[in-house]
Amino acid sequence: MSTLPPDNRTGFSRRKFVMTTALGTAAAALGLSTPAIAKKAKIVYWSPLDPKANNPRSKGEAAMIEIFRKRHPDIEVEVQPVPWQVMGQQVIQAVLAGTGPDVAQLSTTNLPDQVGAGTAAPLNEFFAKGWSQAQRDDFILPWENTVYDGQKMAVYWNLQVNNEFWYLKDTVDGQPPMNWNNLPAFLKPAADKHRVPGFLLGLSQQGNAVQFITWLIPALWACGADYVLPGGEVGFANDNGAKPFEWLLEMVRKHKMTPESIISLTRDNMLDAIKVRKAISIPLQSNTVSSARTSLGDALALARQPGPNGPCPAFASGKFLMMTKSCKEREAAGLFIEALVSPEAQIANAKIATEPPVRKSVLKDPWFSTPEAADVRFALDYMSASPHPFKYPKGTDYLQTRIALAAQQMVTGRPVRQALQEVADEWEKARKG
Amino acid sequence: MGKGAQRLMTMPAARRVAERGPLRKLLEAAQPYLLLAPAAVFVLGITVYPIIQLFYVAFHSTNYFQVGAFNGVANFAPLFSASGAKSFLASAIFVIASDILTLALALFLALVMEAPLRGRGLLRTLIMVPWLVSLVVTALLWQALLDPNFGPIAHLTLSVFGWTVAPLGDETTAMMAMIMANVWRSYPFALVLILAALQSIPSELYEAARLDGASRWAEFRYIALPMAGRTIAVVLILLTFEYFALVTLPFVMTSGGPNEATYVLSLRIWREAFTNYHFGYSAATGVVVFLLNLALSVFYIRHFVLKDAQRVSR
Repeated sequence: MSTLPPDNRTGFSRRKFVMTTALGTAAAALGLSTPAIAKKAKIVYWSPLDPKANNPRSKGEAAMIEIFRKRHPDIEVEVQPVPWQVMGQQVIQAVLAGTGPDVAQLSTTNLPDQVGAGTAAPLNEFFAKGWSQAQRDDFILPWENTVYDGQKMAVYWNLQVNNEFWYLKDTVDGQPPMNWNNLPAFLKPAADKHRVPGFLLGLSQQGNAVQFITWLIPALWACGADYVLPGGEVGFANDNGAKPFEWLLEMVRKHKMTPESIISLTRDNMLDAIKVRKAISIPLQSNTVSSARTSLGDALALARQPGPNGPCPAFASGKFLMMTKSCKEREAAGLFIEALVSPEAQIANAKIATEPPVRKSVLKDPWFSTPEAADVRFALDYMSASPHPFKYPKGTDYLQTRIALAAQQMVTGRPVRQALQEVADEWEKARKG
Repeated sequence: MGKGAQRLMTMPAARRVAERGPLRKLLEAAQPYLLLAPAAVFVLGITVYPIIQLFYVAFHSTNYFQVGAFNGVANFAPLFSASGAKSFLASAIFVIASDILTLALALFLALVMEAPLRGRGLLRTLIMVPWLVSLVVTALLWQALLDPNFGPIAHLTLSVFGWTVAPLGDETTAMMAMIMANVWRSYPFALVLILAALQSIPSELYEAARLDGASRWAEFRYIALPMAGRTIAVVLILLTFEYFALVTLPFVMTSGGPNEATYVLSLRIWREAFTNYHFGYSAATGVVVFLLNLALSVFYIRHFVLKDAQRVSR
C-alpha cells in the first residue's frame, strides 16, 4: 500500500499538469505567430505546347520558362497544355467562370474576341507605361496590333510568317515560279511521277480554317483585294477578290494538281501529307517548319507564296501572351510575360525551335548568321522584303470559317461570286448584330 | 415505461395521430419532403435552372456573354435558312441511322453472346473494347483510318484497285463514315442493356415454345423481342438523346464538312457559341434540340413503353 498522499502519487500534481499545459499552449501559440516562410507565388499558364513533349517547339518553350524560373525562383509556374484549336473558347469559358489561367498563349486571331468578351486584362502597368519608345520599337510586329482602345491587351510571344510556300526540292527541277500561273507546269512532272497531288490546301473549317485563310489573305492583297476593309466590311466580294478562288478552282479542275478532297483537309492533314511525301507543295506557317524538317531534312525547301504577278506580300503575325481577368497574381504574371519576351528567352527559343524572334535586338546574335538559322532568316527576309500591315478584326473566327465553307461550296460547283456575296451579306448581318 | 406511453402504444394508430397537435402532424407530413429538399434543390439547380436560362437567352439579344434586350424569335431565324435546313437534315440522318444500326448490331451481338459459345467470356470482353475508348480517340482513330494520304483504307484501295478514295472529302461518304464511327463506339452500351434484358427472360418460356414446335425465329419474334422490348425502347431513348447532343465526334472527324454535310445541330450549337460567339443563336438551336428530344421521348414512351405495359397487364 502506498504511503504517499493521494494527490501526490505520480509526482505530477494537477497544478503542475495545468501549468505545463498552459506553457505548452503558449509556446505553440508563439511558434505559430512567428512570421511563416513567405508563400511562393504561383501562376497557371495555359499553352498549346506541352513542355514535356519531345518536339522542338515544346522544348523551346520549356527553355524560355526555365529562364523565367532562374530569374524568379520565388514564383512557381504550372504549365497546363490546352489544344490550340480550342484555346480561345476554353479561355473565355474558364475566365468567365472564374477558373481561368493567369496567363494564356493564344493564336493571333483570338485576341479581338478575347478583348470583346472581356477576358483579357490590360497590361499597361507592366509594358505600356514602364517601357520606353525604344523598347516598344524593338518589337518586330507593330506594337499597336495588340492595342485596343488605348490599352495594351497582349504581347507577341513569337513571330510567324503565315504564307511560306513549302516544296520537296528533290522532286522538282529548279526553283518554283513566283507567278502562280506557271506553278502547274512546274509541279506537274513531279506530281505525275510520284502519283501525289502537286499542291495541297486545306479547306476544312477545323481550327477556324487557319490553314486556308493564311494563304487566302496575302493572295487577296496580291490581287488588289482585301480581307476586311478599314470600315469593317469584307474586301473580297468583288472581281479582284474572286481571283484567288478562281485560281484554286483551276488547280482542281483544269490542272488536276489539287484533289477535290481538299474540302475536308485540316492544317494537320497538310503538314502530315508533306511529311510523308504525299504532296509536292503546300503553303504553311513558319512556326511548323521545324516539325517538318525533322521528317524531311534538307528535302524541304521554302519559297515565297506565288501570286498573280509575282510573290504575295508576307503575312506576318504571331502568337501572343495575354494576362486574363481571372489572374490572381498580377505582378508575377507580368514578370512571367516579360521574361518570355525578353531577348534571352527569344534567342533560346529561336535556337531550339527555329522560330523567328519577336525582338529586333535579338537578331544581332551571331547564331542568326549560321546555317541552322536559315529557316528563320528566310522568314525574316520575306517579311522585310514585302511587309503588309494587318490587324485581325473582331469576329474573325466566324468570318474565317464562313469563307472556308464558301470555298468548299465552290469546289462542289457553286459560282464563286455568288458564294462570296453570301459571305459578305452574312458578315454584315453578324457585324451589325 | 410510463402510463401515458403505455396508453399511446396500445391505442389504435388513427387515434394516436388524431391526439397529436396540428404542428406535429404538419411536421410529420412534411418530413419526407424536408429530407428530400437538399437533393431536390441540387437537382433543380443543375437541371431545371440551365433549361430556364437556355430559354431566356434564346429570346434575347446577346453580345458575347452579355444578355441584352428581348428580341422575340429573331435568334431562331438562322435555323430556317438553307444552312439551318442542312443541319436538321444532317442531324436526322445521323440520329436515325445511328439508332437503327446500333440497335440492330447490339441486338444481334446480344443474341450471339447469349448462346452457349466456347470462349464467351473473351468474346464479351473484346466486344466491349470500343466502350473503353474515349470519344476524341475514337474520332481521331477513324479519321486516321480514312485519311486519303496515308490511311490504310486509302492505301488498300489504291494498291488493289488503283482508286484514290477520300471518304471524309465527300458529302455522302463523310456522313456514312461518321455514322460508322458512332455506331462502333456506342453499340457496347446498348449491348450490355439488351443482353441483361435477354438474360432475364425465364428459360421456361423457351422450353414451352420448343415443346409447341416453335422455330428459333419464332422464339426470337414472339418471346425475346417482346420481353426485351421495353429495355430496347429505353436504350433507344437514351441513344437518341446522346446522338442529338454529340459534339466531339463531328467536331474532330469532319468539323461539320464537307459543305455542311455533317454540320449536325449539336455542332451548330457549339460553333455558334464558341466560334462565332452568337450565344443567342446557339441557345435558340439548343431550345429546338431540347424540344425535339422531348417530343421524341414522349412518342417513344407512349408508343413503346406504355403500350407494351398495357399489353402485359392485359
